[in-house]
Amino acid sequence: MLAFQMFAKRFALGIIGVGVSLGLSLTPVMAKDITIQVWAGGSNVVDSYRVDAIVMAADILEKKPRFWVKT
Amino acid sequence: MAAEANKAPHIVVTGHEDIAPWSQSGLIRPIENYVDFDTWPLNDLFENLVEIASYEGTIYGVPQDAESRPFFAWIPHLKGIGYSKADIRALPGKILSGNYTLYDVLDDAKKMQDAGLVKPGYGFYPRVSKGGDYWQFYLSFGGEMQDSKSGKLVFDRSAMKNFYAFFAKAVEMGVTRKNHIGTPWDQWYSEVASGKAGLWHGGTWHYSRYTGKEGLKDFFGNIVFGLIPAGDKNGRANTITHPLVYLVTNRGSEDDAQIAAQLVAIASEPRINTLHAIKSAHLGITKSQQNVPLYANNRWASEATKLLLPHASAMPNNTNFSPYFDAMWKGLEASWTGQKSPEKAVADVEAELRANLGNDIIIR
Repeated sequence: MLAFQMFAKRFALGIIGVGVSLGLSLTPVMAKDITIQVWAGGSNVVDSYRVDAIVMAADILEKKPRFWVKT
Repeated sequence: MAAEANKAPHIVVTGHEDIAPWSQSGLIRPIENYVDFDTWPLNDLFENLVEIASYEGTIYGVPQDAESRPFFAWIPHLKGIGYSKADIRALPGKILSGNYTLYDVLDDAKKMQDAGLVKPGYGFYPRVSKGGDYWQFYLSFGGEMQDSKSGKLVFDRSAMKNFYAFFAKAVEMGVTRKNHIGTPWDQWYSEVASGKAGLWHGGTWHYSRYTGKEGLKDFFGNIVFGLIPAGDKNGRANTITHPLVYLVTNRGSEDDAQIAAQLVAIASEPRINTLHAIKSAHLGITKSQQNVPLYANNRWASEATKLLLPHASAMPNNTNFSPYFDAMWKGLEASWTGQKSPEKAVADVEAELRANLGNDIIIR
């Protein structure tokens, strides 16, 4: 869930809401919304991809959270 | 300041050189504590990039992009001084093997000027401002920036003197202007992308500038590229990369940090990273990107990755590097403009380093 994303000339800043299940146990855990803020410098239009990639990652993490957890 | 006030973002994209001071100040967390570098996709990262994202043996960041700083030559001018098509194709290999050195660059630059292909001072047309690129020429003469065992910085008098002497010689031969440093960047880009210069060095991201804003229609028909040539038998052909890295800051809880680190890991998946790499003419961070069609079918990304990235090193993640860099640059400018001989410039740099860094730098 992308809550807010802002791009300006000198920086790209994204605030990303991620709804994930926290914890490594096999028992079901409650989903929790976490807001992650990301900052990337750069003055070119393509620099926003650095934040876009995290936004895409948030979308993927929401769908397949356990796959990415360190075990 | 935002980080110190615990108001920083959770994830920051910045240059790898920030890792040393920020980790020492406790502003960032070791990302290796939250994600597994032995599993996909992090186990596919180029090892030298992971090393660059580490400090004192701990992995703090994940590379976001890579680039390197190649040597370029204008093909029509090479042909104009007698290079055949086969010679031009062989040039990157000759550079890699050490059979085409920096002094061959100056000789070819002079031939181009003598043939009237470029104006005086445009034969060899280096970067116009202070930048990490210049350390490549120190490496070309056998210099070492950091001792791998102790982690201390290294000042190699002989390599530094030969590096300074090379640029002094370029000015003496008239192939590089004495007042070249300070040339406006827009002017420089326009000149190198239109055949006004013979040989130069730049960055892999220049490809998009040359072929975009500068309007160069046929990059590969006009420009050949390779590593920065060796300077002498003590040195080697090389290139420096300056990756940006994703860092997880000290903001928030451990749960926040774990999510942030997982987002970084996912964003490093080859297909996702390729979107930025291709759009910005940067190089990829993982080996598998060369199998991603968008990357593999991009001639520049594909060829530059194979030719340059395996030989790339980086400026050290060391809190003392900034004063060393400043001193090196002052010495280079003094030698370049003739204010000091290379020998005198090196002696002055050494004195400054001894005074400012003491035992934190190895001088040899």
